[in-house]
Amino acid sequence: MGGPCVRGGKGIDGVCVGGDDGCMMRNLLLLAAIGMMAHGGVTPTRAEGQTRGELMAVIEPGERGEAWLEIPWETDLTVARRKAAAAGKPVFLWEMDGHPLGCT
Amino acid sequence: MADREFVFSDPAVQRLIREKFIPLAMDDWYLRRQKDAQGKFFMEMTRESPRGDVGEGTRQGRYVFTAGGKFLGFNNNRSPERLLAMLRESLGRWEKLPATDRAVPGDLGNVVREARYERRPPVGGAVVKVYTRVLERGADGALRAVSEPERKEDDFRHRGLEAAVDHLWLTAEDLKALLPKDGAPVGVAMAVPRVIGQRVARYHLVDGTRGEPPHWSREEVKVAEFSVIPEGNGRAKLKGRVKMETADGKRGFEGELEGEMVYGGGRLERFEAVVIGEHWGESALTAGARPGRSPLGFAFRLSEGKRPADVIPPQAARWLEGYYEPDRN
Repeated sequence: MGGPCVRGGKGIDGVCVGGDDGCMMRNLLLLAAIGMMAHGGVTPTRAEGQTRGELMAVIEPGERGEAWLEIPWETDLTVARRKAAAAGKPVFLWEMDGHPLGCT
Repeated sequence: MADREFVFSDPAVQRLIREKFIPLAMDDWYLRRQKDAQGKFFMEMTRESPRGDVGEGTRQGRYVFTAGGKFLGFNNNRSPERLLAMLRESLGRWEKLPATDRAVPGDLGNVVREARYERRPPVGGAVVKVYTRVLERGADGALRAVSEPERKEDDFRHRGLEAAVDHLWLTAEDLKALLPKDGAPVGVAMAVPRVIGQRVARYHLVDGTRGEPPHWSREEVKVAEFSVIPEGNGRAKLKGRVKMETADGKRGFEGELEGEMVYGGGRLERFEAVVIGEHWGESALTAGARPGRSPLGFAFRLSEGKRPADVIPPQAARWLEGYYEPDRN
């Protein structure tokens, strides 16, 4: 939707919404976009008729998607070492650039 | 994310790790930088591993070691069978160790991390899980998870179709500013404090489904408008719309938020929201995006904080000041 209006227009979020001829086309496009947003308050991607709960169920991982959390991961090296010493077991470390339990 | 799906969801891997090991997951970005006792222990332990000569570079992978720091095994492959083989070999080495090598020499003391790498959930604040998933439209027009294509048994290629997860941290101060005061007029929208809106937009409305996503700069946030609409009795609706776009227009996201929160005594009791919109583009670490604009959904849900996995820091909190003050940094 182009750059900010530099002559006479009033800016919303850096986009010209009124004023001079140079911004006319951008104004029309912006008004059309606002009209689309205002119609039912939804973006073009929003499925009509789906509730928030239904959409959350689609997006969230669910049991299958969180199966990897059935392993009782520790997140502190010293705590894990202490537990390993007490249990007489070695430590298994999953080390990633970005926390393995939540950055992607 | 591929490791979660292909390796650590495997029942045989899970069983062996649960029975024979103390499982630990950590962010290499922090650990390899820490100059404290933990960082030194890690660098010393990895010295004998295949990552021993990488200097300041990444040491990511899977390690087996004793509580005292003796290295026993390493693997960095997505095949469950290869990981199982490494685990069994490491156990064999463990069993041959004298008892003195299996124990910890002396007291481990308290956990004291180098202050600049210490990250703890904000006291009196809230942790909100943020899930992200690529979506598609079904024949009925409804949005749904993208269906998984058939894959061969040994195909561990990551397609980014599972839900990504991150954590939104809200401080006690954030909550004070966010939650409507007693007597706030019902149905009258109030603007969400800019610091929270910018944090959500810049650091949490990112496509992390195929890897570490780049966060949006202040300049790339074109629209970030969020409001709270009190409904009385400690309930409020949330509304919002966002648009972020890089200067060249090659990557962006545009969407709307709808949610609800329940609160009392200055604390959140429930927080649920979805952001549905269109994403376009990719970055160096998130290659493989679908062409053009495609539906992307985010789900926000208050975390109970019961598991260690619930209290790890937001990805964007590596620079903590920038995370908490996104409208200034």
